[in-house]
Amino acid sequence: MNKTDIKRNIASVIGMLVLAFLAVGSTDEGSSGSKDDKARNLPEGNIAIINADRGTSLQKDENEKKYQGTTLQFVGVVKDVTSATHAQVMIDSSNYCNVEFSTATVGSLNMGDKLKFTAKIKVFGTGLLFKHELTDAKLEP
Amino acid sequence: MLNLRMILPFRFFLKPIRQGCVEASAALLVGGFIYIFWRSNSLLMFRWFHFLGMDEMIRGWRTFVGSFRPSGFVLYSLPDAAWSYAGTVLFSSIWIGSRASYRYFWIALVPALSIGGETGQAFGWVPGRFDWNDLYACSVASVLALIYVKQSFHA
Repeated sequence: MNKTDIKRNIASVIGMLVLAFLAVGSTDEGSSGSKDDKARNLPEGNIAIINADRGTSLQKDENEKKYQGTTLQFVGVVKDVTSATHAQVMIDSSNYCNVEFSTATVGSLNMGDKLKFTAKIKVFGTGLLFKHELTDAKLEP
Repeated sequence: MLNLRMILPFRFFLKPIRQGCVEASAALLVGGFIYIFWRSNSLLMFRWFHFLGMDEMIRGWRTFVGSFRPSGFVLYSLPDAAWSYAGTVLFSSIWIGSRASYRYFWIALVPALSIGGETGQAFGWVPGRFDWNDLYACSVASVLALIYVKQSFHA
């Protein structure tokens, strides 16, 4: 091994350490099932809810304005049905929504049913204690 | 007159490595800013920013770009591709001109990690979610980096 190659090796090791440092920085603090990882391939509505969960009150207000009147697509799991037009849906483990459907279509749903629907975001809650409010929802096939 | 290039430690391959560093840094900056602007703040780097007292600045940037949200490919696949490109360009430019047999190890290291890691996710050997876009992006970025270095330095 000549002197230049030794320097190349040193430069390569330093370069690899920098790349490894950056790769570690881009990992999620949680496990592989992290929020960031889950956010991909999700409908826009779910992403809006998940992102709102992380924001400050001011950011939530701005997000509410941003999404006001916009119909977004959601997927979730039925946690409760309180009337033919009202269901409680889990968007992810820390985000629950009260969903008001525009027609009486959810009366026959059972707990644990998976739903795909469109709705408008009325109010961002905290996810668990104060649930997000979705309105004008329509079930999708 | 003293020639500074003669006393620099990497004088034998100063030009390629310098260009490689600039290219790699640019690619890493692109990927880094995508993470900072749009990715989840539960990533480890945001803890580091907090530790460094950069919270306010980062929040300002995220608020500033908040109204614009790039496509899923840009958000999730481009940073991986940028990392692959940066590493491949960096190591290729470092090892240009060397005849050591193990230069191939260094040049192939980053593509192998990115493409191998993504493939490992498909089989459940590596944590994370497999995505074809990531695999394509990393593969294309690595090949582009090799072509770029080969053409730039006539390796």
